[in-house]
Parts: sequence; C-alpha cells; structure tokens
Amino acid sequence: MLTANNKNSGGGYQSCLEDNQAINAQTIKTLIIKVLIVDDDITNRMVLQSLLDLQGYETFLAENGQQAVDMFQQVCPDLILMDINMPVMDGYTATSIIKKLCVNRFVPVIFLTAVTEDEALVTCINSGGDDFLTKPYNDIILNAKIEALLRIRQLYNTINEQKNQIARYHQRMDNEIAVATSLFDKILNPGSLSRPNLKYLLSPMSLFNGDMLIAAEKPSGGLHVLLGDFTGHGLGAATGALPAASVFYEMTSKGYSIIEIVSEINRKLIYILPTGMFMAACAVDMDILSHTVSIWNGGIPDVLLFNAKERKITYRITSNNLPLGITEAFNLNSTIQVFPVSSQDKLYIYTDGVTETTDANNEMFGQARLEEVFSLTQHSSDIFEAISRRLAEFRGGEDQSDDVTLLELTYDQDCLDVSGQFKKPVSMSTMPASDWTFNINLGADALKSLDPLPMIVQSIVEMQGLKEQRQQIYIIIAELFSNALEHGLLGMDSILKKSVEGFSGYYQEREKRLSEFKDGHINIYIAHEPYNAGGKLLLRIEDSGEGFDYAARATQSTLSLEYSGKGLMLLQSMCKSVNYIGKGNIVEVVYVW
Amino acid sequence: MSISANKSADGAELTIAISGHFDFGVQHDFRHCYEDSAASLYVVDMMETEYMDSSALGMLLMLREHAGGNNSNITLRNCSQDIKTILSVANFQSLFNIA
Repeated sequence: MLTANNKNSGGGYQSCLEDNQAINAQTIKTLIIKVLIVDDDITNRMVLQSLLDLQGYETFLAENGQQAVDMFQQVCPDLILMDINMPVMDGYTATSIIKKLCVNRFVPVIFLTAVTEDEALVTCINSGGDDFLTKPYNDIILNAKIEALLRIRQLYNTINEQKNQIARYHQRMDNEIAVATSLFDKILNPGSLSRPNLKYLLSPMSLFNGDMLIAAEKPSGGLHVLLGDFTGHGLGAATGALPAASVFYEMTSKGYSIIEIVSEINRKLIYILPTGMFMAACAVDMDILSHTVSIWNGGIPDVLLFNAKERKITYRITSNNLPLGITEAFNLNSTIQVFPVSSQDKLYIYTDGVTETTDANNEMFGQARLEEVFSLTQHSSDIFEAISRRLAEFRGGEDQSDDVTLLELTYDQDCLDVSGQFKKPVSMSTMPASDWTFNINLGADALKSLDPLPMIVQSIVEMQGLKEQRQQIYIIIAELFSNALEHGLLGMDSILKKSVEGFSGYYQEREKRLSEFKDGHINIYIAHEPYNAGGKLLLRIEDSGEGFDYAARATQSTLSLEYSGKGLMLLQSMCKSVNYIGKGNIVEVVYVW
Repeated sequence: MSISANKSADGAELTIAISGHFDFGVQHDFRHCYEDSAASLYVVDMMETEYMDSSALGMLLMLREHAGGNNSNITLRNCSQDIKTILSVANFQSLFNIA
C-alpha cells in the first residue's frame, strides 16, 4: 500500500535533504499524499485503491458519508474521492460537512458518479465538490484530475502560508510600534509641559510626531522651551527628536544658554540627519532675573508676542535663520531677539501645520485667519482655546495633512520663579563638608568666547555633592558674574534696560562692547569649608574695572534700582552675606548650606 | 510628468522645471533629473509650481549637495510670492540664489 515509502527507501529522501537547491521541488514529491476513498461498493474501493497505490499515494477507505466524516477528522487527507449514493449518509451531505470543517485548509473533493444528468452534476459542485468524474473511470483522466487539484491545493497552501506570515508580521510591527511610541513619549515628554503658564496643542498626523515640543526649567529659574518641526512625518521624522531632546534637557539642567544649546543641537543633527532632512526650530528662553524672553527662530512661522493690556500683537519674531541640521556656518548669536516682558505678555508659537491646515476646498487656514482670532477674542485668557476651536472648525472633516503644534507661553513670574520659593533643600549634601578652594582667572579672550558658568557650577556641585543646591548656586554666580562683566568691565548702565528700545539696545551695545573689549579680566575665587552641620561657600569675584561707589548706592531710593537692584536683593535673600570691597570692583558673598 | 529637465548646449547649465505640486510625490523624478548631470550651474524654474512643502526644501538641499554644497551655484527662478515666503521662513536665500 505504501509504495511511496518503498520508492524512497533507496536513500532518495536523504539525498534531497542534503541538497538545499533541490529541496523545494523534491519535498513536494516525497511528501506522502493521503487520499480518502469513499464508496459503499467494495469492488469500486479496491479498484481505486490499487490504482492510487500504484501512483504512490497513501490511501484510506470509508464505506459511507458518516465514516468519511469521521475518517476525515482522524487522518486529515489531502484529497477525497467521493461516491454520491451511499447508505447512512450520502456524498453530498458528507462533502458539505467536511468543507465546513476545513478552516484555512483546502481539501479537494472529486465526486465519482454514475449519473450524467446536468442537474446532479451541478449539485456536486453546490455541495462543495471541486470536480467530478463519471463512471466507469478512465485511469488517465482520474490521475490527471487528481494531479491538477493537488496543484491547486499546493497553491492554496502557499498563499495561506504567506497570508499567515503577513498577519504575524503585522502583529510584530504593531507590538514594536507600541513599544516605540511609549518610549518616545517618555523621553520627549517627561511631564515637562505640565505647568500652569503653558498651553499646548500637539496633533501628530501619524502615530509618531514629526513635531516636537519640550520645556525644561533653568537652574536659575525661568524656562527653556524648544519647538521643532522635522521634515516629513512619521517614524523617520521622529527619530531625530531623541538626540535633540537629550541635548536640550542635559544642557539646560547644567545652565547652558539657549544659544549654546541650539548650536549643539545643530551640530548633532548635522552629524546624524541625512542630507535633505532638517529641523525647523524655535527656541525660547524665559528669564526671570532680567524679565526678558529671548527667541531664536530658524524656519518656524512668525512667533507672536501678544500683550493682554494693549490687546494687540506687539512683536512678530520672523525666522532669520536656517533650520537646524543643514550647516554649521552661521552665526547663531547675532540672530537671537530679546524682549522685555511682563505678566501681561503671552507668546504664541506654532508650526506650519497650523497655517497650512486645509479645508474642504483645499484652501489654507493662513496667517490672516490666525491673527484675526486675537482681535476677535474678548478675554486674552481664551485666545489659545479660540485658536484651537477655529482651527478645528476650519478643517471640518478633512484629513490632517501635517503635524500640527500650537503653543501659548505666558510670562508668569510666580510659575517661572521656582527659585523664588527658596525652599530649604530637603536632602542635604551626599558628601560630608570638606575644605577646598579653587580660583579661575578669565582674560579678555576667554570672556569673549566662553561661558564659564556651567563648568564652575558643575565643579562646585560635584566636589561637594550639592545637587539640591545647584539652582541657588547657579543664580548667585550668574548674577555676580554678569554684574562684573557688564557693569564692571563693559561699563554698561542698567538704566538703558528700562524702555523696550533701550532693552534690545542694551543687548546690542553689550555685544558691541564685548567684541571691542581688549584689556581686563575677571577673577573668581571659590572656597568651601565645613560649617555647623553643613558647609559654607565663599565666592569672591573681582573685575579689573573701575568699581563703583557702593556706599552711595546703598542710600539711593529703590526706585532707580528697579532693574539692577533686583539682582542684589535676590542675592541678599539667598546668601548669608553680600559685601562689596575695595573700590567696588570686588564682591564677596557667603552661602551656607 | 510634472518635472522636466533641460540641458544647455554646452552641458554647463541644467534647468529643472516643476509644474504643480513640488512635494514628496515628485522626489524620485526630481532626483532623476540631476543625478547624472555634471553641470556647474543649476536653475530650478518654479513658474508652474503651485505649492511646495518642507520635503521640497529637503529635495533642494539634496540638489545643493550634488551640485557641490557650499560651492554650488543654484538659482530658484520665477518663485511665486507664496513660495518666496516658504523659502524665506527657512532662510534659504542664504543657500540659493532666489530670483
């Protein structure tokens, strides 16, 4: 009966396994095909069996429909030869039961019949049969039909296997995407956007957002915000967001300026992004010490500064830079714009996905519609919601064609000024207080080219394990250093900062004087020693400038000190003592922890 | 389709004209226009260009790299006001001649 086995016992099976090239063609033949023969007539069964044995098939026999169904479930045949008229259960019924049992499987059924009426033959096909053969059989025709149906079965199995493979692939993709999205969300939005002075709308077009919005507190209080829009959408666009975000968080926490952060992100993106891919970006520094907002715009639509009291857009910060990730050959420093701000000021930043949102007629939302909302909205606290609503109405049921991001930032001293709370750090230093000093002397060239603050603060924090105190130490040193540089060495007058014109003028003048600056230095001396349960940090900053009459200054009314005096008041509230020495070119403060 | 390229007689100048939408959909055609070209001067003619998006900016940067990066000489000609705005928001006037 098992001729197929006999045929292969000569080692043919082995050799085909060894030969990879031939394996596909060979295995089909060497697999034993199981054929179920269903007929109530023993002679018919025997004839068919011997015929099929000769061809190398493995045969199974059933005497009626019921037996055929049972046997089908037991042996899983590859093909069935089915008589029609049988006791217990006829061939039609058995076939329709068997076909129902075949889920995702194709088992061809060939009816063997003595009837020749068209109607009976149609019933064969309707009950699920795949072909029929009229008795008496012609061996050659029977073999040919079996071959043909087995070929179709092979095709069916191949397609089915491919379908399953695709389904498995989809399943795996879905899982991977789910993992990746949760990873992206965690890295990009570690809760940094939930603060009362910040409202935002992030509406990615696909699962991954090609727009990114991140914010982080500066060690000196205040906030850094970065809005980025990568070319394209989806995963490819989102990938560049990870390194950009890590640079942003890392450098902000260490006290680097927004310009240094933007430069570093630019360098990193040039290195990793392929040509043709870049990030349009807007970086914002909200500074509570100087009450300013500094904005750098490279490829983002006009940023709008709105004043609630005047009820109008007071400034428009137009992109004056290339997007990031294209070239290193441009001077970022000269393109940052600085504005004095009060609690009445709100900043609106949005990606081109907002202005290029289209309606049913393919018309764009545009700048005019956006700005119209400002004049139409009664209360400035409703503007953000009004823009979001107007945008949604405009788009109607249309599909989103780009990532859409909209941000409102309010200059709110209380929210921004985390340092103002002066909370005593909960955990003290991780190291016992010890004795140490260090001294840094910065000459003109060094003062022009580098910002020493992050490095100095980092050194103090690490030498003494003062993580919790980083913010206060940063504010103190930043305040002392900028006083020494701007007033001591460059001879700048704070009164300049009072008006808006004066304000940007002040920073332009500072840039100008710094670039022309030739002789002079700032010396920073830092000493630490144990004190009570904690430690005592002495900071002495000396500049080579003229100094000033600090005795006279102390008796001046606080009015004229509105800008410059704020810093001093802040220092006094944080330090144990603040003393000017000599001709006013040396200041010594003591900070206790 | 919507992109056509024209080489000057001496082969030194290649003009690429884009009609309709200049976006991701024409990326392949656009690159195909210049990838075998050794021209020293490139002109992208946007007379018939209705719209461009940020992926088109990316495609222009790829052309710029092909044309020699900082030593390239590429003119974007016949830009509509809308397109000029998009180019200037991205500050592309510092990388291309916009005429």
